[in-house]
Amino acid sequence: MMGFAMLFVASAALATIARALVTADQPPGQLPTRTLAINVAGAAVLGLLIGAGWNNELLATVAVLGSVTTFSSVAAEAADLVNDGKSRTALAYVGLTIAAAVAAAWISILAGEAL
Amino acid sequence: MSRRSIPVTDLAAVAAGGVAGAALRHRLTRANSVFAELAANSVATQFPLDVLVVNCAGCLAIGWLIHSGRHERPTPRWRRAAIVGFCGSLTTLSTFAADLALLFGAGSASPSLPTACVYLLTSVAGGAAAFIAGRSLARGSLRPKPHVTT
Repeated sequence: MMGFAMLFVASAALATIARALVTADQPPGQLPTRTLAINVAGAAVLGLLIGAGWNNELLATVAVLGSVTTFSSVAAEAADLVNDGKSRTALAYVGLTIAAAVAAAWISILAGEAL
Repeated sequence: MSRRSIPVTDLAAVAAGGVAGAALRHRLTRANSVFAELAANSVATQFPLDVLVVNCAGCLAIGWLIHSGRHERPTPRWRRAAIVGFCGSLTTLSTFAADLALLFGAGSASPSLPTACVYLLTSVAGGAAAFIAGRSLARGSLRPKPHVTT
């Protein structure tokens, strides 16, 4: 139990730092490609785990992948784009994030099942 | 290692915020997402209400945090920890995407299209509404009280 708690804290901390570093110098006023990339990658890895049926590892991994990916930043970045008068980019960003992440999860679930 | 764009002390604060957000998310969602349900060998038709709740809560919080405080100053450490760390880790896109894919019938999961569509719509609309609510809350509380002069 102690082991799991320590693993959880360490992995959530590292995952958050990784996301912070990757998204830190994202240029404002443009499509936030860094956040998009990290979200799609996280969805792909989670899909693989689900497809492969690694259920025991799932709960621990949820700490890492959930902390790497983010839903709130997408909302904030989309709102920023709307404020900059770039509503179309904002709409494209939200649509692209969901479509790409679900597609990545879908493909990797299939890949995981084939493993 | 590439150039560091965030000071180490800020990174430590961000990490602490991230652990708190992840722990809260884990508490609130650990057994109820669609794939946890699949792992328990049942059919995935349940609406992932818990993930929706943490995602909307995170959007409310980030809307409030971003729009409260002073914008003309460099972002203080605690704001970064709360916004990037706590809100970022409280919310999740990987579980959202994987649950949605499973509800749409990815792999050998049996599709539940109505649930999938409702989940997609409530997540997007709920997230946007929560962000706007948080923002209005911050702006309302920031507005100086009118001084009544006679």
